[in-house]
Amino acid sequence: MQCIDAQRQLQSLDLDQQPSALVAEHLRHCNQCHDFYEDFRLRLHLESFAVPEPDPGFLQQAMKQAGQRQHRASLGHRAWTAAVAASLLVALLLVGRWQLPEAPSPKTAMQLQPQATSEQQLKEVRILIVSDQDYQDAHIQVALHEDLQLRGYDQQKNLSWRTPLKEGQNLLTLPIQIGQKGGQLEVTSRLGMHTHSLQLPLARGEQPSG
Amino acid sequence: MVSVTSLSSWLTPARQRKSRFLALVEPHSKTLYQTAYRLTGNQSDTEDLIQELFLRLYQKQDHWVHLDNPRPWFLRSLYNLYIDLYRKRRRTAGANDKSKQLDDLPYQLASAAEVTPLEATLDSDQQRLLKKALDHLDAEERNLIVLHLMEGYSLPEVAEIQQLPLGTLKSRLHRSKEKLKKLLLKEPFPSAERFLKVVSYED
Ligand SMILES: [Zn+2]
Repeated sequence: MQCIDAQRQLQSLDLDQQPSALVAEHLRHCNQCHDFYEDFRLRLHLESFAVPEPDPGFLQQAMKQAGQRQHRASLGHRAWTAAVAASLLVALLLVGRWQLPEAPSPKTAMQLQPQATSEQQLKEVRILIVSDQDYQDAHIQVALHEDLQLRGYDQQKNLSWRTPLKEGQNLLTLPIQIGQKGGQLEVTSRLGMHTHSLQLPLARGEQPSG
Repeated sequence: MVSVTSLSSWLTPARQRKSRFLALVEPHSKTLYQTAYRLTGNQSDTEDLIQELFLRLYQKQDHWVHLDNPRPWFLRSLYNLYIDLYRKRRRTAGANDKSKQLDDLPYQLASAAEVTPLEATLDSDQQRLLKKALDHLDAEERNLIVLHLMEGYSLPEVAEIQQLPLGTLKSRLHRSKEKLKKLLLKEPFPSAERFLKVVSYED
């Protein structure tokens, strides 16, 4: 029997079929076909691995949860804490005509998940800007008091931008260099007559309280 | 006061990030689930892994949104998370497990313990055998087998995903295949009957 014929026959077998006596005899003496047959059966085994369908809605749900950042990392909060540790803190700034009495006071800096981070001087400060509607031309102003600097803008203590804002949450991440003495970061939004601002005390190494 | 024209590199509207994320990840979500299932062998670990993966992809969006084909990036993240899970499992099992002498059954330390009774019942004997055999591979080997032999990625593609030299991958593939063959394939004939491999065929 030729190898090519043996291999053709072997390829037509499935996992619980035995090769014919003729082919079996050939396999006994032909290492090449023996190896071929082993590889082939290994492939059949691997191909037989059945993956069940995901639970209905699971994938959509998991993607949405990732977007909402509400999902606690199930492998021990590692991914979540890593993300938070990378930023210094999250503060809230409201933009627009917020008049409802229950709206949080725009002067309140909300500190979420304070993390004592390393000795690094550079901190990413995240500010959640909540806007009441889309704006083409919101005015955002950053003032750096005392020993603070914005990376890439050395020595500049006051900066301002005109920027579009989307309705809802906008995340502003500022790379701030904190010097020995620390200092106060002030972020202000202005829209016509409506001005909101927040002040954040930033210190090196450890977190400001409250 | 200095006026700067754009704040956009530091400012991301949450809504936009979310819809962009959904649009870009959705087309890959099912295949990623499949890969994760082949790696873990059970539903509960697969779901954990996928949730963790989506979270990481969301957080790292800026690293991959510009890519024409982000799939390798996704698979690399999945691989890294799977390695973490695998090591964590092994540590936990090592700490609790006094029956070290039974260690020749490493699959007990990996995923077999996590298979729900229902899943176990639904598995055929062949499926159970295959899962056990795969559990004998370490995480790097299994990822290689899954991506290359089960999902058809080329070795250079897997090398990029696992960040390994091609040569290392090739010898690892050979080793993994031998392990699997030993576990999965019953010798059709007693090995003594076969010719010893003294001749290598024109290679
Ligand atoms: Zn032959």
